[in-house]
Amino acid sequence: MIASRIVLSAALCALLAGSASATAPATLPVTKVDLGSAPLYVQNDTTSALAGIQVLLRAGLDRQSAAQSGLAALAAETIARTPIDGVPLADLVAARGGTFSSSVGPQYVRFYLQAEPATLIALAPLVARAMAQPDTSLAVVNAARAIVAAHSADDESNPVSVGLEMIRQSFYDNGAALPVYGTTGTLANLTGADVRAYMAAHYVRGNAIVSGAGNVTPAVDDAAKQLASAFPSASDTPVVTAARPFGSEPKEIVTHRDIGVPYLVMGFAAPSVSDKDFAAMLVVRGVLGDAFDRPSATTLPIISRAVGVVYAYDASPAEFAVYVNGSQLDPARGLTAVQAIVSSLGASGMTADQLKRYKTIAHGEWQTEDVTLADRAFAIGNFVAFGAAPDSAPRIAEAIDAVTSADIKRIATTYLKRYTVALVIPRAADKSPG
Amino acid sequence: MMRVSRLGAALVAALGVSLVGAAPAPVPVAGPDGVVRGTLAGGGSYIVQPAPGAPVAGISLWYRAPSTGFGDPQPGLGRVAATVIAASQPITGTPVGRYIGQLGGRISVTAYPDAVAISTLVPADKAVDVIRALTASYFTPVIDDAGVTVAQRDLAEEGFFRQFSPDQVIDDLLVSDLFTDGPARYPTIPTPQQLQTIDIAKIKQFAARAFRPSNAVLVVTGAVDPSVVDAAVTGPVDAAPGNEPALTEHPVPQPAPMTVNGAEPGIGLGWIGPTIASEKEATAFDFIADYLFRPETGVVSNAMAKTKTTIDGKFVTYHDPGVFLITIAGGDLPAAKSVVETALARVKKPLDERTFAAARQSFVYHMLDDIQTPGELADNFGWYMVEGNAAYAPGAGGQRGRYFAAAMQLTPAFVAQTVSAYLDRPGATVTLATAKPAPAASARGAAK
Repeated sequence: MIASRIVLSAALCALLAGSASATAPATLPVTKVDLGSAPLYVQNDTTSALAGIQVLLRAGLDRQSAAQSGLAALAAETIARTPIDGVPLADLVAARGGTFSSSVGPQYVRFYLQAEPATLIALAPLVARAMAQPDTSLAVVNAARAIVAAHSADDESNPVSVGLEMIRQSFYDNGAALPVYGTTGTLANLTGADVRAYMAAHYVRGNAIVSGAGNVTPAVDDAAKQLASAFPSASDTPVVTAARPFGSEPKEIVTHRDIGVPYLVMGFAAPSVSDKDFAAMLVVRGVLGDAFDRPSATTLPIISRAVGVVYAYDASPAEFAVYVNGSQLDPARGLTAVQAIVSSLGASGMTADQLKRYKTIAHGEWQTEDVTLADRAFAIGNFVAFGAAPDSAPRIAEAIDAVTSADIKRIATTYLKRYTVALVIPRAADKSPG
Repeated sequence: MMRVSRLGAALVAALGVSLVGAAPAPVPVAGPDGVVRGTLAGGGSYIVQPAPGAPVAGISLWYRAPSTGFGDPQPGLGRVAATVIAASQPITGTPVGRYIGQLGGRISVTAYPDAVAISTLVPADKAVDVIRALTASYFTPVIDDAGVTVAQRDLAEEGFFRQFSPDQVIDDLLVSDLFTDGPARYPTIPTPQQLQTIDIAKIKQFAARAFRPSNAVLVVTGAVDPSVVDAAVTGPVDAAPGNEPALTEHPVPQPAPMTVNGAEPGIGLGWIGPTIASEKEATAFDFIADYLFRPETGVVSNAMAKTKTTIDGKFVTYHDPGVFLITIAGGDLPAAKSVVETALARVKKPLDERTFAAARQSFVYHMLDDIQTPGELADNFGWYMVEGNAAYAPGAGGQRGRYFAAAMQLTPAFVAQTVSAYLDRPGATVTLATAKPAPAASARGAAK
């Protein structure tokens, strides 16, 4: 077996050791395991029945050219469709009692394997085989293409997804702005050779960040090592993704879809997870997410919420989007109200009572943000990917508690004064909120 | 957080209500299955399962209570009462639903024919405050007009959306068709007309009996110490003792086919299944539901993946008896029904050993995956407790517990025999039809 486990947070460990009589034990520490090929950052929980291992690869949307739109997703899905002993990898993992999934973000592609520890250990060599020797034959790429196209169709029927995609497309200055699943035209033109070339260039060990959560036994560490070692030992050419500058006036983008009610999405720039302003932005998220909901007995389902907030901190620069649900609130009124709140925050910050209220909400939302093993493994990897410590979660909770009114003012004036508006309108209607 | 104000203290004295936590209790000790169980100071039960992974706590209050109330059937009363309390202002201050939201947590109310649950997911460092607030709100329920207004709007909206969910509509109809009487005959969400007939007096009467402390099951999971349950308030000193019995429903010998108009066409098939006490049989039905109908991995789900049809199949482990429900919606319904019937016929014969072993391994994984978060785990414990077989909860003892022991005892022959024994009996059939559009000829006639 492998190398030593280095405890990243001695303070957390000390807290744990002294928590026997406490009413709320501290969360588990994140440890770093040297796999040789790449470090593994893991939150080990021996009480969990399952283990999850994630590999983040710097092979996301911003590695694509415009003509390659959809290639990042197609490559990732090709891994999942690669036959192992005659069965597509994802199906094989499912049939043996596990989950293998992938997703694509502006900068990273994510692979995730979850199972009982003993099963995960048995599955890891099979996953590693597919990662090392993906099948880029026409049949497999076509199968992957069909799945990517189906994901695209699903997103197209969701007005929030459509609006967020529009905002992202106007926000980034390179391939990160391309549609996650490509367009019908570009996706159809991509070949097995394109997939091979993309993987050869970007699916390399130097691009990998490995993280885990759950019952990550030493043998699971070894399994993670097999995943990390599946890619050739090489580095990649860096790519720098930046946000396009906002104009002095908000840009308005309009599209039509087969939906019942209009949705409006405002897109802003936002601090990344390693930025000192990240915690303050989470407090602002709490404000905008809370300000518009009608009184309700219980937590409103998304469909009943007037305004929702999506903080896309899985990229740097990060995006912050506020959407108005036209079935609950007139989009024009929603836009005006968000502007008014942002303006007030920028001018006056918050009163002590307001600050206390929204810091409590933000603290709670942050703590309940990543609960599943998949989300916890993602959070750890995401911190590392964007320059934060792997055990940043509790530190960010503490940072939320320390946010001041001056921080809120700074956030409002630095990030929220300029924005883009995306309107998703039912095909039958054509009414601008302006 | 919630505090007992001076006014509150006066009311405590005047009403004989105890809102404070009980005197320090003995340190709770985990049983052999790793679960800490005990009795609350005001009666009722608690279950604690520490799970330190994420800094959250899943905290639920479960009650055995007929969704239609204890007297003449009043459809939806259980859900309405629990929702109204969440929105009403208790003597301690903020309505508990709003309070949970102010902590950045989430709260929901779920009702079943025989049970009501209030479930929360909150930051672990607020678990003590939330337990105190939840138990204060439900053990000594305050019901006010503002709470009724808010709850009515919430439930009207939920009911509105539900009518566009054919699987939920069909589930309600199937269960209704399978039983002769009792709360299963009625959906747990009232219609707008039924909602208007539920007044404060009915809610108060129901709440006083259903939500009394001795009828409660408090479940706490997550990054918490078992001692957090000490924060539960005692409740009224004059509350009735004892808990409600588990509900036994009466099946219809020969359910009649039912056709109802709905927003979308669909088909439902339902059968009476084993009781929760029949652990191996109940697990066999969970296994079959997983093998055939689990989204993305089920045999039937995969067969229909490229069609416009959605199929849902599940076994609901009620106390006595359980029910096996299948809903089919969208696309080519006759073709989909044929796929389902073929699949059911196949599982009435033993699967080959290799297929069975792989299916069982997947089934065990899926069950573990379904209870991996504190919120899921809390609801899992609550459900099995109110249905009368707490030790059989999949979360109890993990893979060394009774649920997974039953799973490992399954054999292809036993599964086939169990499926045949129940599904060869007459089942319920529901057809959801859409109203036909006006004939084109009429429209043309009108135009003339």
